[in-house]
Amino acid sequence: MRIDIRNVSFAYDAKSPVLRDVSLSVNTGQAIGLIGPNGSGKSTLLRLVSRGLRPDQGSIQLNGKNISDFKTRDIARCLAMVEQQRTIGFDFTVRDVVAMGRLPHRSRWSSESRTDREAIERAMCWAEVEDLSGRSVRTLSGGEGQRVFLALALAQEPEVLLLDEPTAFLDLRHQLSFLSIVKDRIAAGLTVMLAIHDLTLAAQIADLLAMLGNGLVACEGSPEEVLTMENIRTVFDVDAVVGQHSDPKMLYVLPALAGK
Amino acid sequence: MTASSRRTTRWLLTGLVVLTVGSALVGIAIGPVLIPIQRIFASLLRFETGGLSTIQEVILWQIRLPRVLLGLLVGAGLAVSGVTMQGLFRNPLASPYILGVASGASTGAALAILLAGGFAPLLPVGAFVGAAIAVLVVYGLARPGNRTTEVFTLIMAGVAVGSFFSAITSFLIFLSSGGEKLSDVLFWIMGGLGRANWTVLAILSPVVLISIGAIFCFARDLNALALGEETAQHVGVNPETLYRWLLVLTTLLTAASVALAGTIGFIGLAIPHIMRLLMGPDHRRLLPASALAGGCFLVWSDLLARTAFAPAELPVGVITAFFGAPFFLYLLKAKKARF
Repeated sequence: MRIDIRNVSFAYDAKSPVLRDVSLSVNTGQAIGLIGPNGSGKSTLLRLVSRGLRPDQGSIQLNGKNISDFKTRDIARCLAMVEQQRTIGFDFTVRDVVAMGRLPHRSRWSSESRTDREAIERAMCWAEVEDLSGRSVRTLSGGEGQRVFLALALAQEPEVLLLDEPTAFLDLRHQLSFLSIVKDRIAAGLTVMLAIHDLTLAAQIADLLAMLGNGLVACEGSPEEVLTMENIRTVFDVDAVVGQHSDPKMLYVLPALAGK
Repeated sequence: MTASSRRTTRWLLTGLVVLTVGSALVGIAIGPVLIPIQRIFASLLRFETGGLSTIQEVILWQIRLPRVLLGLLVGAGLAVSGVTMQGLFRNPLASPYILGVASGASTGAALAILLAGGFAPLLPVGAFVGAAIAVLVVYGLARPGNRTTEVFTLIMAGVAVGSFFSAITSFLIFLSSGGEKLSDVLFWIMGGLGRANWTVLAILSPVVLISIGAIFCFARDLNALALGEETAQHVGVNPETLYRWLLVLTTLLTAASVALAGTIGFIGLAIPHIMRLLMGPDHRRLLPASALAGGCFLVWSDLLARTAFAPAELPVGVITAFFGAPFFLYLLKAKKARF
């Protein structure tokens, strides 16, 4: 599913706009990484696409249809999001929480169908949370919780997945396994938009990067085009070494402590 | 939820249904005049009229049955509205009275008693109007701002408006300078099922039953809301619609209960927690379980309230808290509950 963000502006309070006239497009089966310093509007942009917020100006479209024209339930059938912070009321089990991903696909009174059950089990398997099935979500570590919410989002069988700092709480192995799960889904046609701080991981997961600064898209393009020493210095105010590792072929960013 | 725990909850629910029917029969049977349980059936189903004396018939039909039914309705209403408020605000301290409904109703009832004297029908009307005014003020105060702050403002406004109306009630009690009216007001504030009759039931039961039924329809949405407003929205539940509907329904439910039985404490706060400890957090089972348990609990409490010091009648709120609170504390310790 294609996402088009057209001339979107947003301000939490009128004096300091968070996003100014932002336009971005992502094609079906592509991943776009939103990078930029704290407060540059990455999460805000994701929340605008997920309809958690409403743009002051401009429009956001999924496959050419304005998102404000979708019903809440209809948009939940094609778009899922893993948020940054969550508090969970009450002692639901991991299985219960993942099963909630099926809500938009079920009628109010129907019980879990075979399709539902398969989607739930598949999602739990992808996110590697089968072992946690019966655990209370309140007893999970940050990283386990993150994977459970990925499973919830995947159980929705979305066409678009929004991820806000998905690797923030994860250890190295789970950062990579989380992103490789997402990468598999992208290969299967999922469109992904993610906000991410780790530039090296961003370069590996995303087809496109959009570097945000001061509420504007400072630059966008392939990781090679966006992740340059000049761009990082301008937007992040940081000196970094950007290099290409030849085998395996990958781009890396090494931030350097100032004064050295 | 695993298969075994699902079976447990099914047993618990069945048990609660049986318990509710049993409680109702015991509530009808016991009092100053005993009515044998096997004859209650016969009379209720109109098989025969010979089994009971005329006095027993009158007591059964005009006093006990309406009283037990009122107990079931009010208990269920308070418990369901408590579950809903706790789910909606995701706050374990939320109760049906959190938005100032009880305080407004008390002020309305006190005014009705003090101004209209012995004219009984005015009391529930006064209470309902008082409750409605209090809630309207709370909503009016909490309207502006975005959704998240709105919920907090709502709770804060509820506390403030509640205190304000309590002050007015206290002032009215002070003005009444003792006497019979004062004890009327106090007894009403402490709550009781003594006003039960068929007229009251005819008015109350549709409101309570329809509200409870409508709230049951939102059970899945309440589950999703436990994950937070944004996640709920991502799985297709519109939090704004949910708040709007459920606040109206719980207010109706609470105001109707309070108008007819006074402010009965503890049920709306603790029954939801007790049921959550026993059944788990899934609102699809928690709501019906709480409705049944709340009804049973109030019927038993009322039975004790009217028999323990007969012919004097204790305010039923004394019983609900006196027996409910220790049981709740026991469960908290035994189940090591997390909220």
